[in-house]
Amino acid sequence: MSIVAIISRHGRESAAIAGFTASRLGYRLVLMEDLVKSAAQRFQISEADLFRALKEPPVLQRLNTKPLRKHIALLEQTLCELMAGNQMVFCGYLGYPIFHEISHVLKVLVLAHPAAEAHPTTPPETTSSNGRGQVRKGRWFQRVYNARLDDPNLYDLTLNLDHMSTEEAADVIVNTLGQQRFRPMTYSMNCMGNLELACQVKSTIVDQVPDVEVKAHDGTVYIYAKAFKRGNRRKALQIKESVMHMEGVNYVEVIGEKELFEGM
Amino acid sequence: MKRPTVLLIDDEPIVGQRLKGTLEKLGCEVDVFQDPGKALDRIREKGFDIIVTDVMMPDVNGIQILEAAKAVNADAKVIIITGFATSDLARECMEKGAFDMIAKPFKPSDLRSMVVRAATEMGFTDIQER
Amino acid sequence: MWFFNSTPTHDERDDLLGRPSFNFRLQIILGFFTFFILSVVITIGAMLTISRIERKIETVSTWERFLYNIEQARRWEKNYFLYGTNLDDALESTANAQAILNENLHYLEQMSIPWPKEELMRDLALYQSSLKMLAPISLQEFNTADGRMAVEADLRRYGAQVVTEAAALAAKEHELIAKWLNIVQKVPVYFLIFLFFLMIYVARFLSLRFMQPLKQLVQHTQRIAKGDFTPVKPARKYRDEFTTVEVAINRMLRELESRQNSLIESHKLRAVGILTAGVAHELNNPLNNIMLSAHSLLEEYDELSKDEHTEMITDIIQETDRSRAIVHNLLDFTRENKSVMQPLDLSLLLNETAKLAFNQARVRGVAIQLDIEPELPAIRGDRQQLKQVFLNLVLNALDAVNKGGRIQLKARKQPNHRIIVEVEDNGCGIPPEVLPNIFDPFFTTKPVGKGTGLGLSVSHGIISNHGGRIEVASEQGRYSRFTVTLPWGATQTAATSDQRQPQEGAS
Ligand SMILES: Nc1ncnc2c1ncn2[C@@H]1O[C@H](COP(=O)(O)OP(=O)(O)OP(=O)(O)O)[C@@H](O)[C@H]1O
Ligand SMILES: [Mg+2]
Repeated sequence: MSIVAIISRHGRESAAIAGFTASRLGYRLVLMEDLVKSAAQRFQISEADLFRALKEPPVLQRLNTKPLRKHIALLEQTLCELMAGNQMVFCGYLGYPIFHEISHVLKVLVLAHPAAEAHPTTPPETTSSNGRGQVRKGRWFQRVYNARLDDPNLYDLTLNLDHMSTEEAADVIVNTLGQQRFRPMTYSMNCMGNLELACQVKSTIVDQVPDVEVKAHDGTVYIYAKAFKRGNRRKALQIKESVMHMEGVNYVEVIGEKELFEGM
Repeated sequence: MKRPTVLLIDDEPIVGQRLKGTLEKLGCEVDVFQDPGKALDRIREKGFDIIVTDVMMPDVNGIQILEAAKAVNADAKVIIITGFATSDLARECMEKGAFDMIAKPFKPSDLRSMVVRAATEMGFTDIQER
Repeated sequence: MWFFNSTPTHDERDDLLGRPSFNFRLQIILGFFTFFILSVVITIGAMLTISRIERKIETVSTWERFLYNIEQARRWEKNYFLYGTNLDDALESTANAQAILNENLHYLEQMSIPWPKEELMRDLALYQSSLKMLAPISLQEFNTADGRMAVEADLRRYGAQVVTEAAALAAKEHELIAKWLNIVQKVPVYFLIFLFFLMIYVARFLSLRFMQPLKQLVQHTQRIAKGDFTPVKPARKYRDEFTTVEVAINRMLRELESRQNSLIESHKLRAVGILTAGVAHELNNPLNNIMLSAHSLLEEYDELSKDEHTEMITDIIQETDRSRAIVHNLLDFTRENKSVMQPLDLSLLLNETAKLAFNQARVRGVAIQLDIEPELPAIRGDRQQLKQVFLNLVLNALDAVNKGGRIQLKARKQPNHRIIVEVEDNGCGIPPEVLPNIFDPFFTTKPVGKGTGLGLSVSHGIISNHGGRIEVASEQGRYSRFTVTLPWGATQTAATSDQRQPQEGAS
């Protein structure tokens, strides 16, 4: 019934673990590529653009990163929609804040010593490009989520592939998932619904306000726009307007910086 | 025909007042307590099928109620309602065997559907939402 | 923004700068100038004395020349009486002596010690005339003549008189020279000794003048480090180089104070962040009641009686009021406010503080007990800031106790116009080795993200500003007790009024 999120810099190893876990649990397997594919289908964008968004972290100062933000938001929205069915094993480095808020997601960090990469069968070039890929993923994570990908505090389970095989890792995950605590409940399902709505809203408005955070609670949407000055009512109204008519939205509150305690 | 027994514990009197009727209409036998200590005694005295409890209450908290209820009757379905829901609390409750958890504020229909599910799982067939 | 004292207060600058200037440069210059004048006086004195000695030496030599000629005359005179020769030589020597005297008469009159001029002149003249009287008489007749005896006696008498007088004068002058030389030798030695003590005194005086303000500056920095931002007040009568430092310190103090205020503000918001669990619970309960009542009304409107309708609607209204009160209490604490010192009911304030933390405590399974003496006198203070202090203490206590712990908030009156408020918990206590540090900014034993270590430092600053004290007693593993002592009534106005007048135009 639950969800497993395997987050790692080591795409190949963690994908293998995810594959074993999914087949053992009978869950759906969603890799980064699958996510990109369904997002591309759902929103009619090219897969290459989406992959680009996963490679280059968007930087606020640079203008051309706007589409990157949009694409990340769309990917997160797709992820939320895929998660709605539960029974899923995800593997990648996207969506950590989404997983973080849902109690029935088992968050797994997979670590591997660089030596594990240099497998005798892998040609040396791939090794070095893999190494670069790992650094890039870490940087991307830091930029987008402002957190360290390898921070064990973010995860429920940390697996080190130096000490176990991928199958064993999958075993550990399956065993851990057997704990009652990862069972979904009305509260966590509600949380997931809220996150889905928030993601939808965010991908709708991220074009207009790049630095925005969205929270949703039972149809009430809170939009925290840090860049908003106090007086910028018109823009706030505009955003409100564009969100108001979305499905599942009852009420929209746009909150600029420093406004948190005003008007109460 | 046996009806499921429901114990509703919340130190807010209005919760009991509003929910008692609607749960009774589902076909449950409902006991309401505001004092969790007394509710605990009552649970030990008479095992309930379904227990709906708040978490944060004076003296005795919902987790203790959950543990006690599970100790008395491992099959009892405990539904947690809480004013401050967090992932950690959710996991703790589930680990201790709670049936479900919902954050306040909730609609009566939310609770009703949870109770119906609980009752159905326990084998009470004629408990249904209209 | 609500910084008080953020604009330069002119009185405090004027206090420092309005004094007459007497700086150290001037003091040092004055000191050295004194030395110089003294040396000049001594040098001139010495020079004068030496030139006097020079002139004395001249007088002495005049007298000696005179004496020599007289003695010479007397020797010729003796020869004359013995052999009848040399009378002319005697006359010439006498004339010489006469000439020396006449030549130097004016000079001697001025320079020499008082001398019997008349007598000497007269004796000399008599001697001379006696000698002259001998000249016409031949030695033979003279030898026989009776008159010779008389002339000889005259000559002897006057000659001897002139010699003794001149010799006495020369001797006296010698004595004087010796005396003056003696003085000229001794004065520099005395002067050196005097100079030595004078230097010691001046050095001590100057270094004291330096050390005292330095010591004061050190004291200022110590008290500033403890969070007391009262401006530096003039301690000496005159303005000096340290005044610039003091003015700079005062400017720094204003800056620090405004920083401190933003620190207080941000720490307050942090405290509110910590309270979220409690607040969420507190607020969600009435919201839940409203939600349930409204939905019940909606679902069962037709089945319910009119009385039940009224009951539910009344519930909704009451619960809305309750939510508003909760939000109000929180906002009242959170809202950015101009800091104002106003009379406060401490008992009310402590109750409100406890209310803020009450639910948070309940979440943790901790009991907060209030024990407040009835009819506490009103104190003057900043409501929000004092609330913040007590909230910080309660939150610290909350972190220190386990489930089932107990926090006591006590307030009582003390005899000497003071009120003490104690926040005591039966938690983990504070290890003695960290006890001296807990009021330091950024000192924390809590993990990153949980504690900033600013709570107690901010609280200490606030309490100092209220003219109060905050102290701690603790035993590891048993209890911690924070005691806040606040003045009220007369003592308080004295302690705080000069520190904290809300500034007009400060924004
Ligand atoms: N009641 C108490 N019992 C035990 N230790 C305490 C108590 N109050 C304070 N301390 C100790 O003093 C330290 C400093 O407290 P302070 O309030 O200044 O910072 P903090 O509580 O760590 O951080 P913050 O207040 O920003 O959350 C704490 O880390 C704790 O070790
Ligand atoms: Mg603290």
